[in-house]
Amino acid sequence: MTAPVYLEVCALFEEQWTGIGTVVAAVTKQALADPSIDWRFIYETVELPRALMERLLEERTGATARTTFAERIWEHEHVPYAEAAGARAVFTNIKPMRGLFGQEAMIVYDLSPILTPQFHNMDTINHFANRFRADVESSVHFFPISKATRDDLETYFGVARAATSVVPMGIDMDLGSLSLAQQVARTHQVEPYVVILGTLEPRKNGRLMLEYLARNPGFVHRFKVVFIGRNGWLEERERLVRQAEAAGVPRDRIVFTGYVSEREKVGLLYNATFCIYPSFFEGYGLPILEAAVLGKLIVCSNTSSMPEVAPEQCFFFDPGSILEFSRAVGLAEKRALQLRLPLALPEIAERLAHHSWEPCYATIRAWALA
Amino acid sequence: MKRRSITSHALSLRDLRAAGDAERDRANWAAASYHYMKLLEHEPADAALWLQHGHVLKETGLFAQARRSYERARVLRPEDPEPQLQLAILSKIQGNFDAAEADFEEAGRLGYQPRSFIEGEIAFLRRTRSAPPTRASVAAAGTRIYLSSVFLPVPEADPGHLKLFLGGTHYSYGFSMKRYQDALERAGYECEVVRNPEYVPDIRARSAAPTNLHIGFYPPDGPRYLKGAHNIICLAWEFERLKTSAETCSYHAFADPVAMLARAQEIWALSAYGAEALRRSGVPNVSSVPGPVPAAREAGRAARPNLAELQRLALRIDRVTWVPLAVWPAMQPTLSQQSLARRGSLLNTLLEVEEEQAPVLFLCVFNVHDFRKQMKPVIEAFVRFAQVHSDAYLLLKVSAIDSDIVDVNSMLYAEQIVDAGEMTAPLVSDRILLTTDALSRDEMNWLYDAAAFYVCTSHGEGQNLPLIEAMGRGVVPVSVDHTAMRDYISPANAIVVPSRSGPLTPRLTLRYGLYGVDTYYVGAADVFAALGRARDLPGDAYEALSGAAVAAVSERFGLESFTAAVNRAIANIGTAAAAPRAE
Repeated sequence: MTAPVYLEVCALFEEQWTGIGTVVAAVTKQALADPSIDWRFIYETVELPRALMERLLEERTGATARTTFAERIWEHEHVPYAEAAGARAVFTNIKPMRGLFGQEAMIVYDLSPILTPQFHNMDTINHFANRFRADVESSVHFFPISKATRDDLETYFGVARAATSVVPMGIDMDLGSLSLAQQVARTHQVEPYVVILGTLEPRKNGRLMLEYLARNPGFVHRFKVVFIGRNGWLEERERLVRQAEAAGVPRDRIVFTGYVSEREKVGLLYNATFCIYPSFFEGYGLPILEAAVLGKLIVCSNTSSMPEVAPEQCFFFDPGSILEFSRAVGLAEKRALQLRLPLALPEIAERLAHHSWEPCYATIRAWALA
Repeated sequence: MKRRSITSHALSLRDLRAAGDAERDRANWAAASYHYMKLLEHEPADAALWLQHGHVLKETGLFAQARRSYERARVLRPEDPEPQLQLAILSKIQGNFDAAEADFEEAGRLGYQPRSFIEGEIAFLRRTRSAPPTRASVAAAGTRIYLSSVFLPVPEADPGHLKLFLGGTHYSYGFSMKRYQDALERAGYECEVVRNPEYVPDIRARSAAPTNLHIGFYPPDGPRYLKGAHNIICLAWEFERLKTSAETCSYHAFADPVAMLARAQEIWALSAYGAEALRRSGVPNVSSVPGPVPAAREAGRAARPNLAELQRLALRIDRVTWVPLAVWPAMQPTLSQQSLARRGSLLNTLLEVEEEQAPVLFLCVFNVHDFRKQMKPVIEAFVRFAQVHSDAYLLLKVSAIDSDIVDVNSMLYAEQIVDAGEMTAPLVSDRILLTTDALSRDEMNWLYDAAAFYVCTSHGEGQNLPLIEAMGRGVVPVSVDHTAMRDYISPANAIVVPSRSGPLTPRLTLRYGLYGVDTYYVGAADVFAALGRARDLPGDAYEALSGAAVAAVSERFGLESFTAAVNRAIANIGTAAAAPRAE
């Protein structure tokens, strides 16, 4: 057992886990199972009992644990400052405090709020932008989730390559959910549909799909269009609905699912004909990997980190170009007809084995032990 | 009928094959696979059987196992096209299209018949091939140049479109980039405008060019870089120094302009003054590199435009509407209305001229929201000047946001005239004409050609593109000679307006957030005197100044000096920046 190493897990207390929550949960799960490091889990300066961490992972939401934690916060121990000064800590998002630990490292997802502020509301920009430079200056090591994010750190903040370790993203897909999805496909007539996955917000560029539909109204007669993702910010959902109406797309041919459970998401992905990911900017693009593991073709933006994820299954396009997008959709549609989908579960299991969270955790672990 | 157990081990090899085939024909793939596998334990060299085994595994969705069976068949019969074909089909249905194409080609090479089937499959795969994750295919040789700007490329040919942008924040960066793009293309460089370089992953992954050069046009606190390229930020700066981190009053990660500019490989300040200011602020790798502004003429004008020339040019911009100056704070709305009632074209004004001598047009192009332009002394001086010189007209081509809603006189008063620390006398003159119309590139050129003089009294400039453009068309400047103008304005090519330096006024300090910094001021009396010297220039003196103005633009902003700067940058990139990164 090593000296204590601290893992900050504030993101797990979010009510709905999206990208960041998923990554933090995966790292936490691996850390809990690793007896060789004395991991201590912290919410800001307060240590969290392992039982609470296990409960969070079980519930996959911070909604109830947050309340429990708040009620019991007086009973919990703060991180002993003297011990912290000699310890290492890994922050899994923007830091809630700085300089408390002897050596601090942080996971960096993307620099979107400062590089593409046009896609964010002011709260997000202020929260991230006003803190990030000091976070960088107080950290000795960085875990960018993609090469693109690593390059942004280097380009805009001068972070040396040696001070970074790109953490490979993984997938924690439940085969039981897939089995259920397979059953649905066998017992029901599943209408062909395409999936656009991601929170409804301007950065995800869902409006490009609606622009495409306005120019290619026949598409919705071949495929239903399913937007999977919670309603985000800057009134994007309302904008998309208005755009669909203006384009004359029949209402029943476009579905906005809102937030769906992991099981529902996997099921919808599993039975989709192909997937579309038109985002302008991503730190990684986990949905691309999820779709790829299920054998799907992806019509995918060629920007930021996205070309890194599963290039062999992507039809790339410039997210600012409706012409490139149209061409990519056309190609994907033709090629999707050639595929034998959905894949069998053993096939998916084999693919999943190549994308576990172990390499991600191993990268962080190596720094913790260094 | 009772079915035979598939687990029976007493079956003969013939029975096993028959059982396997029967289960296969019933689409009972798992059972068929079992029988074939049992059979293969005894007959491992039967390539046809391995193929059958691969088929049933494929049907169950066990693609990886099916591939292994097909590959066994291929090893056993390397010259048989059938295993190769099955591998191709398997790759295709798995989505491994590149592998499928290679396998189909190999099956064809081995003689698969009908050949048309192979050709059809390959043709389809090629027709539906995914494009690489690139914006554009890039030539392999030489240097690829990328341009980007905080502002969109300005559509100079379309006034209606242009009007949407003029007067907005940072629109001048879009103009600058367009000048660079035109100059680079004229000089024979291959270049591409990138709308959002921050979106683009390491450019070396998608550019086959050995070196990639990115020239960006951004304000000091907002540069965007193209990763993997040699980044040059082009910057116009007009004050003594950049803001300090204390003056930015922000924790924003990009707030410190020195830190942000320090990430560029090179900074090209558009003037020597700007370069000095940036170096003084602590920005490294700064050079003074004038932007390209090609002179439109090879020589200066022989004389000021005569009345016939003016009327011909005015006819070309007849759609542009001008209103007379009417600033009277105490009754501004009324005066603004009356000014609007007097609006008309420049041609109408010129047709009313009765004197034989041609009117003398002075011109100034400016953004009304830009406090640096220091228009008050010019306007005060010209109101008095026009009273004593009936042939003098001042044309103010004004860029403004909301110009369809707020009248130009009210904006001029609010943005250029009023100062809580000074009195504002009424400024009304039908010899000072203002327009907020957007003009196309051609229309701007005709306007320059109509002007005898271009007036500039700015507190400071980082480049001053309209003044340079006017000089390049032979217009004689009536201008201050500080900041950027120091590079190209002198008594040899201009009527120089005297200026003095002094601390920023409270109004300027509040706008620019710089404390303890000096800038330049002119007095209305000095401007009045300069206008008089200009108007009274003898013909040969005007010709000499006009010729010198054109020569100054050619020499400093011509394609030759710009190309030399680009070539120096390319030479400086060096092999380290050009080499692919080790992953």
